[in-house]
Amino acid sequence: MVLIDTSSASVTTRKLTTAKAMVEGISQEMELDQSVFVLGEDVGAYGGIFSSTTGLLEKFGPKRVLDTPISETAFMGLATGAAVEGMRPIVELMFVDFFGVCMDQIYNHMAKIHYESGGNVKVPLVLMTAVGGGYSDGAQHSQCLWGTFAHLPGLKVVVPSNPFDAKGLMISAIRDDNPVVYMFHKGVMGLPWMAKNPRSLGAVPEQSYEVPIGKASVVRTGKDVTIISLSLSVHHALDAADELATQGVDCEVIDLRSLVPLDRGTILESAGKTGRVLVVDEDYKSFGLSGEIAAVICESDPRLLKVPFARLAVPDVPIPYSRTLEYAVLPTADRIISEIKHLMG
Amino acid sequence: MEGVLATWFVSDGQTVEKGQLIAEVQVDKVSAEVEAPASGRIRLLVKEQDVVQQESPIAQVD
Amino acid sequence: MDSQTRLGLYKTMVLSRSFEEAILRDYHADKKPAWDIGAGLIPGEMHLSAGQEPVAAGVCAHLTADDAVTATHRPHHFAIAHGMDLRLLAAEIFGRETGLGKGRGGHMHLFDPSTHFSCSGIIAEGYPPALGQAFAFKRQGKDRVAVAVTGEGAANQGGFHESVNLASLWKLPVVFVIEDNDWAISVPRDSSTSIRSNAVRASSYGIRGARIQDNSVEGVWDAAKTAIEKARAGEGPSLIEVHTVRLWGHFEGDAQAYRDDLGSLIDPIPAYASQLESDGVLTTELAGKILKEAKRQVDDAVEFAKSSPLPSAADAEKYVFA
Repeated sequence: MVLIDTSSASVTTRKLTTAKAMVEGISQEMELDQSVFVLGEDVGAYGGIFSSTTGLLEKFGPKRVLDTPISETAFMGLATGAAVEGMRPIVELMFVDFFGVCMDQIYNHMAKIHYESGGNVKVPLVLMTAVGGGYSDGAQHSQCLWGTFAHLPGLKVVVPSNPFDAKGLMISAIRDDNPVVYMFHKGVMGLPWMAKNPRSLGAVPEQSYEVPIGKASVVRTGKDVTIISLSLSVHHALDAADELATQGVDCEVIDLRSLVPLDRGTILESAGKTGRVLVVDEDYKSFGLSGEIAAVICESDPRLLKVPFARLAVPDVPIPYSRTLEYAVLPTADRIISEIKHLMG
Repeated sequence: MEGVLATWFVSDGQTVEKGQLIAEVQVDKVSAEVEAPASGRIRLLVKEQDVVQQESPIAQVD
Repeated sequence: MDSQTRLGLYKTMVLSRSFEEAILRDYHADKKPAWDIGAGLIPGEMHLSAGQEPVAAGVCAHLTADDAVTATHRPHHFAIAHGMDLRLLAAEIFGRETGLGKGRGGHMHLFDPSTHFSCSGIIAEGYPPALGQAFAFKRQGKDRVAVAVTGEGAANQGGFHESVNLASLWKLPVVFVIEDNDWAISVPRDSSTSIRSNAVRASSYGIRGARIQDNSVEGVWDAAKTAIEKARAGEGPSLIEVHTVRLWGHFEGDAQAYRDDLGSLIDPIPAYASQLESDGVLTTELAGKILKEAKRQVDDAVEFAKSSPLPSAADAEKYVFA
């Protein structure tokens, strides 16, 4: 087992998209461990609607890469049962928005069995699912919903933003003895048929490595203001920070990488350092991640902040279809810049 | 058939090895991977987002 | 069927009933005069299976501890018939640290790795995990099977249909069992289900279906034998519906005012005893011995539970993650 943190990324020039990095992580674990298998809708010949399983069927065959019927309750429960019997399933929920048709298997079964069994039964599986909007897929195919999953005890929730973390977090998730919800934003995958996103392509070591679950990454250091974010919004935050740097504002950007466990230490350390915090979250605003981070800071020491806490999240509306409306609610670099300027007074 | 050179995974002038993933070409909503046919220094003949025809050269390995 | 097998079925049913009679006593003992569901030695809802013992006894007679069973919110008869340790079961029901789930699960949430037993309090949702267990058994190249149990009300749930289809499609070694006790809490089957027999639904998914109309333990045993043998042989899933009887209400405290057939219910255990006696397999003396032995085991389990410590409040957050 090789453990690498982004801060000490090994020297490599080989570049991959986030999607290819994820697949490489899965593929390497499947080679190492015969108990790992993949199931879900269109994960076989199609290779995953968002390229999360490209090439796995050809490499590992239909016994280990299984297309399922559109029966999320059945195959989500199947994954749980197989995990209970010692296998390590990777089960894909095509869009996180589809959780409504199978949530019982997720939150009442996979998440609770370990607790209800008094620790006697383990459920080692990865539930990977596509999240996020920005391409006019409408209210039922554009949500993030990580706050919903993180709210429920018993599920780890990881949300990679870049190729390096995508591979390392996938390997960690597969090796974890708990159910891990692995949420990949369609906009970070580096899909050729979506708007070009340069940050979705990056150096990825060829060997197997883990990125620890529960450890945030300070992806840019700064002294004036802390932007706490995750997933695609990290890219927007970095773009905003680049622009603000030219205007004399020095932003620190934290990529949470996981919601459960939440790296409270890194949040508090940075908040204490800059005294100004903006949370950028593509999930809904109320009762979610941004409020949780405010609570973490307040419970520790509200005096850490020099100015009131700020958050940029999707207002409490369904994600609109029309592009002008959708971009009116999604976090963007421009909106981050304006929030930061407000914070800086 | 034509497509778009979506992503170069290597830079112009870089050394590549035979079989290495060098590019991704997009045709509608699917993409095709292109591997280096030989080892050596690669010279990129098209830019990202250029339209490319099937069987037309996109790079040269010396 | 040989006498030993018949006696075995009878013993299993008597043990299950004796256990539930003991639970029944302790459940009600300290909830009076003001009945408080959350009070007493055994708090919470209590769904007892009296009357349905033939289903569990008949099916589980063909299983070993290597086979899996997923049961329902009414799980005791299957847990006992599948060989769960009575002490661990009783201690869990009494909410003790020594229980199966160290008091974290309760009577609807029993998970026993040593017998691959689990249950779900959510209607029809025990079926999908059974598929996964069967999938794992098949991949491991073993002839183990998974038995998935629901009530007749569950056959109208999506999870039921998704699971039967997928199990058939992938030829998984699963035996689906429906306990038709006529009632989904207070709603009779005929008011909820468009067909008389759920066994016919098997044909929609290309699998074998059988219905045992008379709550006969030997009828269940026969049908289960075929289904389990076929599953072990790699011939895929089957569905068995048993028309059984719910003797004691949906849960304890259910006055069953909505029911007017209570006077005509047949208790399957004395009925089977009479049958065995008339066949010369059972005598009054032997029946007494069987009952005595069952009560001894039950008393031991209940005593173990009552003398076990409650979990420490400080440990309430333990076991969320492995």
